[in-house]
Amino acid sequence: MLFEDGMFMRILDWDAVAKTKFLDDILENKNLLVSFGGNRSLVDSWNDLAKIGKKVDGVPQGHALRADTDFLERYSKLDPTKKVKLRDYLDKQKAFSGRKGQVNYVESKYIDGVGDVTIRYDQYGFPDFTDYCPRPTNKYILYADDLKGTSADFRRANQKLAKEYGFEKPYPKGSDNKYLELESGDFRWTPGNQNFYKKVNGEWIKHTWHHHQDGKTIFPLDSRIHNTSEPGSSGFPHSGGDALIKEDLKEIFESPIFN
Amino acid sequence: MINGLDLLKSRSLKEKLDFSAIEESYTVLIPPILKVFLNSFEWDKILVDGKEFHYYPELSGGEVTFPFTDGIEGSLKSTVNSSDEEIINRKLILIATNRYGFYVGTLDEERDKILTKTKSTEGSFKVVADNIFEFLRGITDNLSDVADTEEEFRQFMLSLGYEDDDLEDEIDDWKNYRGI
Repeated sequence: MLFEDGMFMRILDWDAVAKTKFLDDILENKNLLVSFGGNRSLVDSWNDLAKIGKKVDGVPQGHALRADTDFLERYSKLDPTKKVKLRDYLDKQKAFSGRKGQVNYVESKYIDGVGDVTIRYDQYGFPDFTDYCPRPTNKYILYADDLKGTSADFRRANQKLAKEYGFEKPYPKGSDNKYLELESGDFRWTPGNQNFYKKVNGEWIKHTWHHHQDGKTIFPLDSRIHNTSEPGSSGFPHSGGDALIKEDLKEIFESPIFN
Repeated sequence: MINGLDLLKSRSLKEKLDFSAIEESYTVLIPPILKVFLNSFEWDKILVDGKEFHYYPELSGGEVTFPFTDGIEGSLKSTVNSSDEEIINRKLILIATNRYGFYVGTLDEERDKILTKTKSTEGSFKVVADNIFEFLRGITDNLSDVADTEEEFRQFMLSLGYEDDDLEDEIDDWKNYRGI
């Protein structure tokens, strides 16, 4: 089936590296060849994703997503501009140290002040932070079709959360006309700031908003787990949904499920 | 308005920092201007600990904190313990936190430069200041003072991605602050 419709000639046109990699892939995963069937756009998509990722001796090692035929199907249907943008995003996709271009893996590390944290990176190479979203999740999550991928989204999410805690605009200001810090129960936030603080076991913990890769969901989690820039030890590196929103690549990846 | 340089106190002449021992321990060479900074100044903990600031030239990463008021070793520990290959490979020293962090470069042309990101994808660390002094000059505790006119503030907020009602709300707040 693979050889139908001029596909063989197409593969013959590839460079030696691509041909070898293709052979390696189909030997490792025989179902891949069956899944490709006579669909030349899937094979072209495979080739696109084989040409990105970490380079060893100048040769890109490819992204593991090239073996995911469901994803290749989705990718193949994008217009050429979006394909280039998504390829560029995946090429630069952040991963845990030593895991660039990989999918479906689990990493654990000790984080100062938090303890041992285990995070699963999903079938697309994104970390699954859903377990670390405070509960009840509906209080914290912001779902919106019109997220911008900028700090304006954090403003909106913080204002929604402040409302949950009984704070409505206009927020109170001090004698110097600067916003006062708002505090109610386990919530503390200064209007205008991107982060808020949540009291956990008697300690105020900074929380950072995470743009999920679906481009429509943002939710908060402990900054020490989310950020790689916290002192002592760093969190879990990842590429966020903000860049996907800015590149008009919303809804390529599924929305999160919170258990 | 507090500027980042206002957060410093001069370090006592009696104190001598042993950089070579620290560098050997963490296998990172501390660049020359950062050494001058560390030798000459220390953080005023009363003004810095637990406080949040903004770096006016690059705001996308949000509030900035200075967690390493006890010395450079905390910064270096963050570098060697990072889960981010790029930070490890480029031997970037974390000096201030926000969403992406502000780092001092240590290698080649990056030495002493201050780097951060504007988005989470790799390879986007960019130079935002020539050295730590220039970086601190851009630190402010009050963003409302970054503009002198409404139009200037509008352009500033547009550059941060604000638009429509969000933008107008922010401008109203700013006008209120300025008593306009």
